[in-house]
Amino acid sequence: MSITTENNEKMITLMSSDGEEFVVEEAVAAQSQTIKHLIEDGCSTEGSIPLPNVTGRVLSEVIQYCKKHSSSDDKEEKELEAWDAEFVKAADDHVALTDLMMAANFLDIKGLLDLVAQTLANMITGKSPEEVRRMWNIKNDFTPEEAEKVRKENQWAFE
Amino acid sequence: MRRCCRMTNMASMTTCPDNVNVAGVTAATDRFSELPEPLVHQIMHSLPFEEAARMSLLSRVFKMAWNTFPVVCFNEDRPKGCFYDLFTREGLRDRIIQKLSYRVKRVNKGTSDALLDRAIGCAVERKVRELDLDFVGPLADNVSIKQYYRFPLVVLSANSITVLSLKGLQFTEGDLVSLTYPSMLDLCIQRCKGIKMLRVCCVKLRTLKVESCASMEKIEVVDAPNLESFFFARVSGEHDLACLVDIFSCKLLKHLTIKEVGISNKWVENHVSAMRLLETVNLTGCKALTELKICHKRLKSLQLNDCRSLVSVDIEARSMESFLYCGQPKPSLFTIEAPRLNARINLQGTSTYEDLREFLVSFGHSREVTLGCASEKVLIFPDELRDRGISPLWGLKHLKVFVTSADSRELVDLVDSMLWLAPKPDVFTVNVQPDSVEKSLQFGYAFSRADEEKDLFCCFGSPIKCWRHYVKEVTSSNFKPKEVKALEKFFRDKAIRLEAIYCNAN
Repeated sequence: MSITTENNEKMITLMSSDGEEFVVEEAVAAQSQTIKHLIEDGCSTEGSIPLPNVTGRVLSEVIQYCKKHSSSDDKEEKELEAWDAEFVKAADDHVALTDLMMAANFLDIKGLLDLVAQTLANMITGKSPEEVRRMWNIKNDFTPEEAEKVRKENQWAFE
Repeated sequence: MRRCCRMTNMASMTTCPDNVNVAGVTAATDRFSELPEPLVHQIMHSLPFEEAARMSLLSRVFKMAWNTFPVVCFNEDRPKGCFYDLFTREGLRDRIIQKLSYRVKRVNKGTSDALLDRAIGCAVERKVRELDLDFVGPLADNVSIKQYYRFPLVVLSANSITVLSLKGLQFTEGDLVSLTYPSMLDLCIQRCKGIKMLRVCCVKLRTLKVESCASMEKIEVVDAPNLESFFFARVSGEHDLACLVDIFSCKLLKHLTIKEVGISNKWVENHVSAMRLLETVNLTGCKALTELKICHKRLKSLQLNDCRSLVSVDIEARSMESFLYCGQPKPSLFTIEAPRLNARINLQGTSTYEDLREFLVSFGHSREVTLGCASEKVLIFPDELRDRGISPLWGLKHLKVFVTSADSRELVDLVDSMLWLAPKPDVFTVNVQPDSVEKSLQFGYAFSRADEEKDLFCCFGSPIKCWRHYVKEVTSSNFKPKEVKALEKFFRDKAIRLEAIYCNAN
């Protein structure tokens, strides 16, 4: 549905997989290349744009990010970086970062995707495989022999 | 290699049931292993290469992801043998390589290149897209290179390359290096030896950077109609050697940077007027330039650094927002027509106050002027000149001053002098190292009635009255208490119609 506000900004309604509706300015929604293309193809003229892969909780985080990034210009780069760091820290408390990453990927928001990837990478850096497994509940499905083989193959990385 | 799973992975993404504890980190499920492989690759790409390799030890899923990770990166902090080790290993022989990055500073002579040659050959064979070879390191611009790596000829035929970056290589095949790549988007050549003439012919090229390659005599870009950014910098000190720059065919250029090249007045004039989309121009150390004439509708930003032979600059660029000038102020050098201009002027060298005053007149119509200098003394104009000369920045609303080493005792004199330079500013900002806090003074004004008795003592007979007649309110921000005290005294003594002084502490 496209509604127009007083300052002539076109509004777009997004619907999450769990049926939650979000009304945002078109410029905010268009931070997502996927949505941008949907709008260009005329999918937003009637009703709301359904996003079957993104839950309301994740979508609300994504929208927060898009709002900030559509209102800031290049000059505030430093401030924006600090904001990003705070944002992703807070988002980590509300949603799984992996879900946020999948949403950023599906919605094609490069900045957010890079931000979350870097954040996840930073969480891994300097940790032993055992620590990383514990952090993410990853099950070690190698047999001891296999594990030894993998370690040997990548011996250079453990030096 | 990024983001290739937009639609194909929708199925795996919908598997998240709504009733699960969404803070999946603490839930017992393993969401990380469910990530589509391209996303795991992106995380790997954000990690140091060896840490990415260590992820293979987590579980079978990650072992698979590592085996298909299409990037090979080596930085100098890795032990020496590992790169070779990696390439001779069974597992990597079948690896897809989209990106090969090898950044190892050459310390000793006599390092064997055979394995690296083989690795590069192997990457080219597998249709590598990004190739990044750096034998110098990021911070070693002035360090001499002990041993250059010989440019592997196989790279010339690597048609799949889209991004190529070469630093610290030696070209040995004749004087002319001709690079022709059908898919190349970004090309960067830094500190390479043996290129006398460079010819670039890449239809899709967007950015080209050639920096500090000694003894170049000619650079020619042909058939690169999509080039948006051209950066050419010679080794400083070679500026007086002739070098031909032929980029006339790049009509869509947006960003142009030329450093330490003896380009002529005509060259600049012709190129700038032919490139209608130009947005930024940076001319640094172009010491052969004497007259600069630019008339451009789109140009947004212009930098002139140390082009010391300039005697006249004539600019008409109505979209220009940013202008930077570093060098000696020369009287009546500029004619600038750019109504939305933020001008930054870094004063270098010595000049008389009279010259500086005349120089600044050109910037009176700017929106904002920033003056940078080593010592505030340069900006404290003598009283004698203030009495007979007209304020050069009359009408300027925002004046900023950057001083690298300042004496805080001179603050009041500096403010006094600034208020002569620009008598009716809305804001006046001082930024002094080493505090590097922005301190500001905001002004509110009253209309003066010239017939009042108290106006008669000052500016008698002058058509323009000085700031003392108008200032009604002053708000200072971020100044130290001692400075605030001195400023308060100054304004109370001087401003005829002062009503209030406010102070925002830091």
